[in-house]
Amino acid sequence: MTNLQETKPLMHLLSATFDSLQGATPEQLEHNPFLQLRKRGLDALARTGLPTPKDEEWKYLNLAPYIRHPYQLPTSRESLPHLPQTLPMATIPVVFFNGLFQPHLLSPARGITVTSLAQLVDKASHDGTALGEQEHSIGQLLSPEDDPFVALNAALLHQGALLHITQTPSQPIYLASITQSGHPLFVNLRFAIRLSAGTAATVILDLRTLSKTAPAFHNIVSEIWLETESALTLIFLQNDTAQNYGVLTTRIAQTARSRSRLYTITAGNGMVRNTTSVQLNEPEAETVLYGLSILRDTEVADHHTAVEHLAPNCQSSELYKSIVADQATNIFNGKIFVHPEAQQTNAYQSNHNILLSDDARVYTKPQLEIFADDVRCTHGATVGQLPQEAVFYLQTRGLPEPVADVLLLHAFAAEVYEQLPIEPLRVWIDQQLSNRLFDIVDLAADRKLVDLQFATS
Amino acid sequence: MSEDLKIIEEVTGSDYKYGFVSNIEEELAPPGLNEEIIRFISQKKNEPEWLLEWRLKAFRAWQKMKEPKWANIHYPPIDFQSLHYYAAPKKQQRPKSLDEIDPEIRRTFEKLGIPLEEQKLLAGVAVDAVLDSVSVATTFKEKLAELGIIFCSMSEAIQEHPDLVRKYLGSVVPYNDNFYAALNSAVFSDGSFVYVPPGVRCPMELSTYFRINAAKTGQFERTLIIADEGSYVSYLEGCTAPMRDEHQLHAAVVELIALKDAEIKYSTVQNWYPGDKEGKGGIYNFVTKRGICKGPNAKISWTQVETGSAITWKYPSVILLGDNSVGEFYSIALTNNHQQADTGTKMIHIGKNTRSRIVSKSIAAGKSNNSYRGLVRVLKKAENARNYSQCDSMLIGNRCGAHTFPYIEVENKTATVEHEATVSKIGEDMLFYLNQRGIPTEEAVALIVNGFSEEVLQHLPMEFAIEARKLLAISLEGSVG
Repeated sequence: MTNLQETKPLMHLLSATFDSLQGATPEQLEHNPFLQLRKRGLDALARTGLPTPKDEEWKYLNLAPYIRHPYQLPTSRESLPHLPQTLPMATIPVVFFNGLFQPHLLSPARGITVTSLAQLVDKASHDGTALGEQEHSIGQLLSPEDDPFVALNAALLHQGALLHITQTPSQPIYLASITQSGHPLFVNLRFAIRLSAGTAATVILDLRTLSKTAPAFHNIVSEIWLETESALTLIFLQNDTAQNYGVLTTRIAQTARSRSRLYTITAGNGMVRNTTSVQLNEPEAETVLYGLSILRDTEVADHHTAVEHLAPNCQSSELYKSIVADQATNIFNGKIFVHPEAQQTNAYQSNHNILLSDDARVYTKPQLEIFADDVRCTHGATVGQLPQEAVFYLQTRGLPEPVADVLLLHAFAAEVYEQLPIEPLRVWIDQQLSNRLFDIVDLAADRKLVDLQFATS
Repeated sequence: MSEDLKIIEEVTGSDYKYGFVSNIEEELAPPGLNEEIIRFISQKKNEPEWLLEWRLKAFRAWQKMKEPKWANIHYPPIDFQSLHYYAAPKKQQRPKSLDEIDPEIRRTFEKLGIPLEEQKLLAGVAVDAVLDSVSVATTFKEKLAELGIIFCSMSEAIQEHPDLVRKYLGSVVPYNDNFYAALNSAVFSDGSFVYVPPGVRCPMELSTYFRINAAKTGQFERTLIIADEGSYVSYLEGCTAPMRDEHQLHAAVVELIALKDAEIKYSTVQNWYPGDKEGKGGIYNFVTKRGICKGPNAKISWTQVETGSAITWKYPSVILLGDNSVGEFYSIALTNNHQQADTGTKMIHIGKNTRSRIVSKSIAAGKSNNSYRGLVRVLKKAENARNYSQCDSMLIGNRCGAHTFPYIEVENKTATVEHEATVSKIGEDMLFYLNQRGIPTEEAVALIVNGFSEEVLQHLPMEFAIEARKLLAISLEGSVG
């Protein structure tokens, strides 16, 4: 631990990595890509340290209160007997419990190969070299030098999963990290997902904690490849409890005519940072990013998105909204890069925020960087409150003011997820969010009196 | 398309039309910067003790600061110790009439098209021409004096109105505000000073032509404008500079103070030497401009047309402290060849019912990069703050870049903040239509660019609007995307 100060938050987690590198021979280091990644992660962290609000990419988000806990890496071998019934439909569960892969919950599904990363890492440290193509792809899209949390993830590289989708699966893939621990837990997971040409899949990435006493911190890095004409729907569920913190770094690389559609629903986790980037590498690729934050108490949501147009005739569109109450904070930074060769690009971005309290905060930065001239790029951002005329109109129709507020807020929010393709999931999300809006406007008690049809059908 | 590109190159590659050097004997301080030089400047200008102390404080703060690197611009490191920090035309006696002015200087102004001789005939323009740091001529002063308006060089103001200067200097841009503002505070040579007394509406546009002349002289202007209660003033600033090989640094500071019910309108047309086609030479324009609406119902409006300079790096800002105060920012930034611009504004809403409006039009051609960077900040106590921002970019050719970095920070729920941005090009259909009506491509482009910029141009005072239109055409005539 030459340059890493163990007294700094989270750095104590790295001692095992350091030992594993100390014990490795030069040959092992040369042939084992996982060891190399860990080393690069350590080196990068030693250089940069964890981000602070002084780093432009981490401005407005003060991590200190979330990383100061005495986190431990998972040690328990305990397994989760059965999957908690969170979602209202059948899924293909790829579940991690207290940071450990739970293969027994996964029944074989046609067209999808799930490989445990831990198994590969352990195997590599025994016999070294026999690695397939996909294993080598780890670290290709997101390198430790890109971002401190990717570096941390690489340094702690062990648990995770590689998903290869070769045929369109009939059910959504439920990629979940569930924790239940009496002490603060740090969960470090790495995912690599590849969709073969012409396939389509839905992946739900969920963070849950079953214990309410100790915080859980997730550091999740996902690299996703979409081959020609494949289609991915990726849903981030971040509607758990206040003790659930997460930093999720995701990069999607798209080839010709592939499509991706992302939904990020943040409504409950104490702190979430999403760093999501999409690279449109070949012509006619398409991406749509939707994000919704409904925040209360001291919750913080930080959404950083980047769409890179690297080839002609690609399309991207982005819609992020937030409703921020109490002392909560919503941060949005949306970047669109249009490289010189990406002519005929269409890129749209909009970001709308509603503040419900004087202590709530919204920081937004829609950012365009354009290097091609034959493009159509627009962005818009607004921050405001509910239009008083609309509230008044509903009041004249006999709705009490709080009900009018909920009705309008719901309509504002629903735009983000009303296109979500899986109906039971959409209805479930809608119910969860509606309940939250009722709570925020403090109507929970009168809920039964309010006869409103919220289910989007 | 290739034909169009050729036209762009031909036209946008045209030489700088205002490049020349006037040979006036100059008094130079030795290059380099230390406390001695600052004492030298201060002594040369016969300044009071407090000002010297202030300069030294700024210098000490500057020594501890690091050069900022965050902007989206690239340039070789500046050797601050190789610059001259003081240059003054040798003749120190103030001329009593135009005839007393060095004929060489007058020829310079004539080449620039500054109507110094005709000023008195010209409708309502009083020109305080600044040539290399010392004011050479000030006119219309008497007429302004009748109304109690003070319009003079900063050095003169320090001698004659020390109380006002002491009260307001550094009150908007503190001496340690940022790297270049600290440098300016330490070594500022001269600039303009305006004070408009309560209830007075300044009857003419006040105007200063800045001009950088001596080679290797960083120019450090300091402008201070105070509009007392219920007054109004419109101030014009415009610049051209001779062609030089070496980069020249310009780090000015402009401070505007609008008290209760006062209004300041500040317009800039900036056309300094942008460097040659390969990006060699050209001015570095690193300026701190900030205004404060100190009292209720005050208004500050910035309008800028930025076509020159190798690098433009500035954010004319407004602090909306008084209730119901208004801030405005209208900008056209045009970059060509290897020019770089990182410009925008900051609107800081502090008072209740404050309003701000931002309209930014950027045009990038050649291999240039043009960035809009803006901040709209609504503080917790700023009830009913309102902001509208619009940033439009136009790209001409595919080797240039347009960037938008708008920061929006809202801490009050009653705020309404809107931001929108678009990026577009000059459409082939538009050009075809105009061609087909018999308008040659070059003129068509000028027409389209003028149309694109109209919203900003209309906020310029008449004289400037005409000049600005010409400038846009000169800088870009015939560009096609």
